[in-house]
Amino acid sequence: MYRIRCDVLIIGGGGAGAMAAYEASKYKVHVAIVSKGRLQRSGNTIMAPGAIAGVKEEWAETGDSMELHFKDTIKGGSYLNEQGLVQLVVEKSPEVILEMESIGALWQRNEKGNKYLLRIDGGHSYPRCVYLEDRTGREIMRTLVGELRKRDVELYEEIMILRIIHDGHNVVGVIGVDINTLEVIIFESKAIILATGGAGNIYANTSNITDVTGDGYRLALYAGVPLMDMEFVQFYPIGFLFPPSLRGVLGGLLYYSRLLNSKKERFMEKYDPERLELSTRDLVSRAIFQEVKEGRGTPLGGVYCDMTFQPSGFIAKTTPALYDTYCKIGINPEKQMLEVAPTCHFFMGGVIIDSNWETEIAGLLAAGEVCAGVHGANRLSQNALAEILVSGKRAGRRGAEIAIEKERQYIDPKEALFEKEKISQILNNNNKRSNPIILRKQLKNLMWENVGVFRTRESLVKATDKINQLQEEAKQVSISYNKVFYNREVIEALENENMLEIAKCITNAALKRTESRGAHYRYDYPDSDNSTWLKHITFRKEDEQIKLRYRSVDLKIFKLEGVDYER
Amino acid sequence: MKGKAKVFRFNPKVDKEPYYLTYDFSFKKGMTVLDVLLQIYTEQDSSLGFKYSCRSGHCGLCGVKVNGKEALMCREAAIAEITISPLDNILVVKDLIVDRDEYEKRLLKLRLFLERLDEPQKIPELIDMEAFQKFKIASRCVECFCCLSICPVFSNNPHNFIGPAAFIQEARHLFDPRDVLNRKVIVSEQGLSLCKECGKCSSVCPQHVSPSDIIKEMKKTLKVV
Repeated sequence: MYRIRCDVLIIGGGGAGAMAAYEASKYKVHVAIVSKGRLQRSGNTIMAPGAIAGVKEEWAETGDSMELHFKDTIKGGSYLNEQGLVQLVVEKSPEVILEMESIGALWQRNEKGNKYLLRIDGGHSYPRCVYLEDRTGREIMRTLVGELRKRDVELYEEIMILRIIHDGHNVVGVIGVDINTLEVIIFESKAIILATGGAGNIYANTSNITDVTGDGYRLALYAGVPLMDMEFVQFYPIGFLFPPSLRGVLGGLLYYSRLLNSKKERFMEKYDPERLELSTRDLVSRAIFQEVKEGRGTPLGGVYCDMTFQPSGFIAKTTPALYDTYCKIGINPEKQMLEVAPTCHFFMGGVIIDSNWETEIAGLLAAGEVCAGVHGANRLSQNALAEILVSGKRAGRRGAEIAIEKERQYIDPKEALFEKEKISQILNNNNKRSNPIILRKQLKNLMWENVGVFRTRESLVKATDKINQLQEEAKQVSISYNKVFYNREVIEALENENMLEIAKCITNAALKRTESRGAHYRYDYPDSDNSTWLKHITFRKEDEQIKLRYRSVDLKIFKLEGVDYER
Repeated sequence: MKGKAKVFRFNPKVDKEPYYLTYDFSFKKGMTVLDVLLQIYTEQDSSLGFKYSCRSGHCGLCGVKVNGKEALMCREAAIAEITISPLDNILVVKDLIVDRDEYEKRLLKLRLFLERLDEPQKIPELIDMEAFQKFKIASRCVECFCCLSICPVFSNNPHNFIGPAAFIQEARHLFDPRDVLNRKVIVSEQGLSLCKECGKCSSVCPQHVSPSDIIKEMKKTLKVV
């Protein structure tokens, strides 16, 4: 066991975490990042092919405005967004877009080099999103990591955080484990920023990077911080279906594609004749499954993604990374169509935070996908990168301010005994009853089949029972390889606990919400019910139990027509 | 169809010598090398050490040698008879996992960030597009180390030559029209001139970055001979 001390500790090394660390380092405090993977090799940001939404006079198209970006976002989120947070993201996004460039990034420009090229995508009224090739997220990471090096931010990589320590009011530190040596580590820090991303890997098909397993949600929940909107999980409409390791990875960009069913019909004409493929992601995902359900799916159970109409050389030039993948799996996108199906992409729900991205516990903040509120019931494309940068910046600054005011507290080494024992128990349990690899596969399939794009009371009840059963099994976890050095199974077992807890929250909330809204679609309740359900479902751990409650929505700025707010 | 995978194994904590283990796997046309390893890990042998995270060429963690040739496991089509070994020229930590720490430590000397004197004057900043193009291509590198594994200069002289991957990181900043740092001193110290431009790195680069062409361009720009 060893101990690390700092002023601001960021958990997670993706875009939100790196941004928070960069911002905090401006305030003369000792900043460290602890990350389960290595920076630039973990977290979803490096995979983000899209763009950053942000409106500023200097590049906006005629007619576009911040107000319109705000409205698009609220409409996309089916009015369940926390409007104050949305306003902050929309307002600050242009600033961070420019700040990224001032510290090293470059966004795509016209031939003269003096005007941004902008992308539009589902739900946006105008092209308003800056990008670089199909690796905008990687450019963000590359830029931020450069700054972190310059500023001597300490990196503790390949360490998984298992528990947040606080004294009831104030955060004190965390306990972690080195994923390669299983050594337990204590971090003492004045402020802690959770930036662990979502939990895509609880679904069989996901675009997410392998290490995104909902760790931050459970950390927060078990520290007593409430979560909300967990039932809202976004499915990106077009993920690869083959080969197995590529299953779920983003298969293309909707603004360059047409979707066709097995009869070669452009079926989106039926579901959303105006916006077609650029409709919101929930609608396109459901349309695809509807086509498959009605027998018009492709051999692998998806639909065709057609890019053959694009001019020769276009795909290779605009999306070089994707183009390369197509070639590797033997598809020539200029001549052939790709089979695609929806894939779990993003979690709208998460930790409840205020306008500084602070949680209820003093000194504990959160940034990026782990937070709830900005995206409501469904996220607009290109708003995720805007959110991670804006929230990272705000949380980073606030974290530094808190650290300046506070004294660091000592953590008794005995605190880490619980984790030490737990790990040795996993290593030494030989009952052979519950293997973490098999358990995870069961959970992923269960969630995909029952708590995915389409949900019903029946499927959700079934999922609840099975998750409870899996949770019992997970307590008896037994691994087949019991050496401490580079033991992937132990880490999978620890991650499974997080995944199961979050799967339970999602399923419970989805069962409770007897309506359809945004990304949450109940086959048995296909319509939105604004009179009952314009509210959040929250989870909070109290006396060893997770309690479900409701919370009102911030509708101060943009009101939904036809709803009686006095009720 | 039945496939056979011969996989390099070495746990320095236990083994005196590395060895190969052969696994049967069910082969399907179109599967990647990563599919093969995941199948072995989940169904047969969870002690197998390997790293991957993104499954699609972004994270650079899964560089290995497949039948003797450097590749990313997630990008390489598997065949029925396959030998998988770790990259050359880099310390093996366990099985197929190689040490990244040594490389990361050396990177710190390269000052891999934008060093500029003034703030941008215009929104957006005016950028020379020819330079932008070079910046963009160098930025595609994901540091998978395939080039380090095949580079004969790095193999013979790792202390004086930092290797293609690191130079490509430096190239991003060298070609950045906004950067003002004297990068000639840095690259000279790291042995840029030692590159023989044999082009082997370019032949294995999964991102088609063509390190040897970029290094050539760097030498030209900085007048390094």
